[in-house]
Amino acid sequence: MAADKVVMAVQYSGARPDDVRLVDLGVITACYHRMSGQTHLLMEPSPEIMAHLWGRTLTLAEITAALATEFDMAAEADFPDTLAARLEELCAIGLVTTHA
Amino acid sequence: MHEFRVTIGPASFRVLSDWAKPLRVMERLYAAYPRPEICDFTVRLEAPRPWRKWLRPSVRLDGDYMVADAAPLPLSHAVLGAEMAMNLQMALGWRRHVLLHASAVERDGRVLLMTGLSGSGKSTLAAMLGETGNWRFMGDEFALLDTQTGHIQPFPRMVSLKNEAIGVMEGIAAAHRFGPLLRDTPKGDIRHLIPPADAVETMGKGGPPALLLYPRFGYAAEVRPMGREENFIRLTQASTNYVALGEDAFGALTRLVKDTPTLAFDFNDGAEAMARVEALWAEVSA
Repeated sequence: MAADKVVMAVQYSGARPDDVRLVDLGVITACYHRMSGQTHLLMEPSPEIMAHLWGRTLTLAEITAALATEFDMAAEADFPDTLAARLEELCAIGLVTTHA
Repeated sequence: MHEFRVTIGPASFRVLSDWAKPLRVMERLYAAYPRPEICDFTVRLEAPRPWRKWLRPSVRLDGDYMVADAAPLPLSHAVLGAEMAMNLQMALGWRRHVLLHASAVERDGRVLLMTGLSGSGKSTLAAMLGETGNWRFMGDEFALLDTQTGHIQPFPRMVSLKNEAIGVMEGIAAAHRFGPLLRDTPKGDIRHLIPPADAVETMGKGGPPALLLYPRFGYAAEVRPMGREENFIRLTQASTNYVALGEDAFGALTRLVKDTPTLAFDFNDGAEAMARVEALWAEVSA
């Protein structure tokens, strides 16, 4: 239970809109990250996660609730796990940061 | 050292050589091109050891930008070496445009781009189209994408014909436009072809891209649409300076992907491929 509390306490902050440039190319969204100079190719729901985190700090539960109305897969039991995995990837490439 | 200078499109080169003969060949092949006072890049054709200038002469390539430990070439392949070294300067050093590994031809002010791996047929198709009189040859190796305008600028260096393409073009272009046949090079047989006169006379004039093809020689004729995501990924791979140019290159390539109809183009016969290119061009021009 203690571990669960730590996970739930994690908050995520997104890049500011000025930090990135996004171009919708259909199946993927091309993302240019100005701080690193790197190009990332994002697939759903990563661009949507970023859009909800523009200049904001939210917990996983809050992100899940915010995206619940946008995706069919939001009804699936593992939707929070899917979002957590995408958030971890976005953190790894520097587009999202975490706060305990 | 012997010296040769040439301007190709927006770029200028100085070639220094321990031997006069390769530069005499280049003087002939590039006779119609301007000779610059100031050069963007320098390349050198040097003997790896002093005695290699005369005894079993071999050529070590050097320049402003080089790959480490490149194997020397025999002197008979020195012109190919100079071309490879000039290409390398562009690939690693050019910053004024997004450099795409692509051929380009122009018609009615708009540009047909063709990109793909070595051996895809993009170079031969561009050379063949350039000989028809309907298309202006803009380049067989590099297309220069202007990050501000989105236009393609020509880089009409000598056409580097490989293997089967040599015989194809010998049947089309006049004999005096060919360089010496270079046999058994690291790229197979090579013969250089001087681009048509109009390609050199108008090499400062670019144009907006209207169609992008990914030719693939040796497959049953087929044309398939290409998704934007695959197109974008392949174009970043086809550009040698995408990372170096940063956001300007990102903006230029995403714009190219969004604005330009793009098709995968399999073919196994040059004449038939040209007819299909004409038909596709008519569709995008309608």
